[in-house]
Amino acid sequence: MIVRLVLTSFRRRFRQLALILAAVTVAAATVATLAGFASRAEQRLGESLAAFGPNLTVRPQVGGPAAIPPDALARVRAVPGVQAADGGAPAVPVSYGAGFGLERIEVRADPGRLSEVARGIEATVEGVEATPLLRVSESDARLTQRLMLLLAAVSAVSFLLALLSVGTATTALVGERRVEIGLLLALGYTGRRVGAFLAAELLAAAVLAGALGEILGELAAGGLAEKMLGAGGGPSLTWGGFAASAVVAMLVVGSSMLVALRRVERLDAARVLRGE
Amino acid sequence: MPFVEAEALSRRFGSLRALDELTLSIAEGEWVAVTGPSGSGKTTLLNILSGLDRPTSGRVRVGGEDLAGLTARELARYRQRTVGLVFQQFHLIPYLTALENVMLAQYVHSMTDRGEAEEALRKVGLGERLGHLPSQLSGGEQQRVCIARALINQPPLILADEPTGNLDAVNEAVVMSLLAELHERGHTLILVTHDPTIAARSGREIRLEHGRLAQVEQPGGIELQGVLAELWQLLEEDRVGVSIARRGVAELIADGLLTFVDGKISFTERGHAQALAVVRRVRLAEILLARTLDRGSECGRETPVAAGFEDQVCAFLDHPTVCPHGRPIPPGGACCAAEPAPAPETVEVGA
Repeated sequence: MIVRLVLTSFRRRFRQLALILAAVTVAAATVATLAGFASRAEQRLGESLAAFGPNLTVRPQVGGPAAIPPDALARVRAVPGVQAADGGAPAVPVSYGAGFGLERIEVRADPGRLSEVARGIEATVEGVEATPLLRVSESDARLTQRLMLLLAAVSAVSFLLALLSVGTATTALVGERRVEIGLLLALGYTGRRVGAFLAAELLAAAVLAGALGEILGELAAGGLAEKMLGAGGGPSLTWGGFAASAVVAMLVVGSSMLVALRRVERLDAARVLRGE
Repeated sequence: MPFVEAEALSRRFGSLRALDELTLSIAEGEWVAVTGPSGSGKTTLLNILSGLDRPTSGRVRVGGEDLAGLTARELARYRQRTVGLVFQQFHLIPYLTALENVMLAQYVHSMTDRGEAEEALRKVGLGERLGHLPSQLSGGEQQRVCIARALINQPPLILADEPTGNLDAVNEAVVMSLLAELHERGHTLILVTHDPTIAARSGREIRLEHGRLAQVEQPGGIELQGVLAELWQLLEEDRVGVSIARRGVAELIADGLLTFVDGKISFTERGHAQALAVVRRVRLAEILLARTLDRGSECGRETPVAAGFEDQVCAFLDHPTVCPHGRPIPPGGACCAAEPAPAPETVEVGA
């Protein structure tokens, strides 16, 4: 009986429920985007720049030789913690017999041991200065942080808008069904039980909206991460993500349900059934 | 001990006194009509008796339960167990079928019995309309669903607020017949109505004015009509004697509807006309109920269709000439095959 009531009511009140569904989906999707992007950014920043390019630059010391000897490249590669080293910069006109000297060497090193690796390179190759590219990494972190703040603000606004629109739609829903609710009360249903009928409808909408929101949010987060952080940021649906979206959906719908329940409990069935 | 008992019952809405120190009692199994002008407090009384409203002061007990002292949850339980409501506007859920609307009232007890709900609808003549939505049913059929819904939990008290207010004469006759049947089955029936002919069918009329009891009277007209119809039937049968001491005969003589001449009772011209009209209404009701509810009744025992609506009912039934028991139905003025009524006859007076 309850399933039939909920399903038929869904069909008949498609507009209001579609509005509720849309509002909750948007709120859940923005929160899922924020969560998905934050998770990806954290992962990428943890890996630092190593995943994307050099994080150390080796240059000749100021006041030292004009170029780095070509054989230094092999010695740099041999330093513990160095993952890759490239001397691909244009050669400078300083001959070292077997070839030209290098203007600089770009090194990808273990991000957790940058300072140690830099000291190791300076000790191995004389007359060079190894500088970690930390400033670039910090700048990216700051950019990511700002983006997350923006996403958090958008999520909060979207959450508030969802509260407002779902609250309005729920109020309209209860208003439209006053006679039906009055009849149920007259038949002997308690206000709580009538509220439970409404809650069942709204909760079904919330679950659906939560799932939709998670899928859309993960797609958006994947796209955003790919643009901001580089390749490899495709969608990755997780139960945790679904749970987060469901929590947002429940919060939005739950608060509206409280409003609806109060209206049901205050409804004067006698007056409603008289048509007043 | 009365089943319904109100003592100094008052209900105020701001400065308006909808009920003003009303005291009344209604016995178990009684059929009471509550009448009165608009705003006299009829519906307010019904709302308080149904537990949908609370009195401002005074006491009201139904089946020994003091309604004023019950919490909202207890009032809901009281409505589940004790009250069946019949509304003027029917209030069926538009997207549920007739059967589901009845089952909704069962579900209040967290269980449903499809067979029982189907049987309830069959009893009100809707066995073929179980799967129809309210929009696919006529007003009378919707009201019958409403009655089936009110009865499904077997409540001892039926409260009906203008149950025929939105119905035509044909459906009014069907619905009133169903309500009369409920009364016969022992339900206490309280019916709010504006219509004196509907009120006249009850066992007692309670008239409210300005929230107070205006008069409590025993309608006798219906009973005398029954006597007229019975005497008419005697004429058609074996003309056995009828005692002058029989209830109602003396009143009919006093009213000038019967005469007592040479030891025989006969209809006066006015009595003949009235008896003819009553017999016609009774027999039309028999056909109507046999067709709509598929229900047989003892000859001459059916509640007549409301006076003034017999021509509509007759036309609806396509001007039948005989009742289900084969007795002739006196034609009305609107009938194509109208024939003059037989001349007044006499009945031997028995001991």
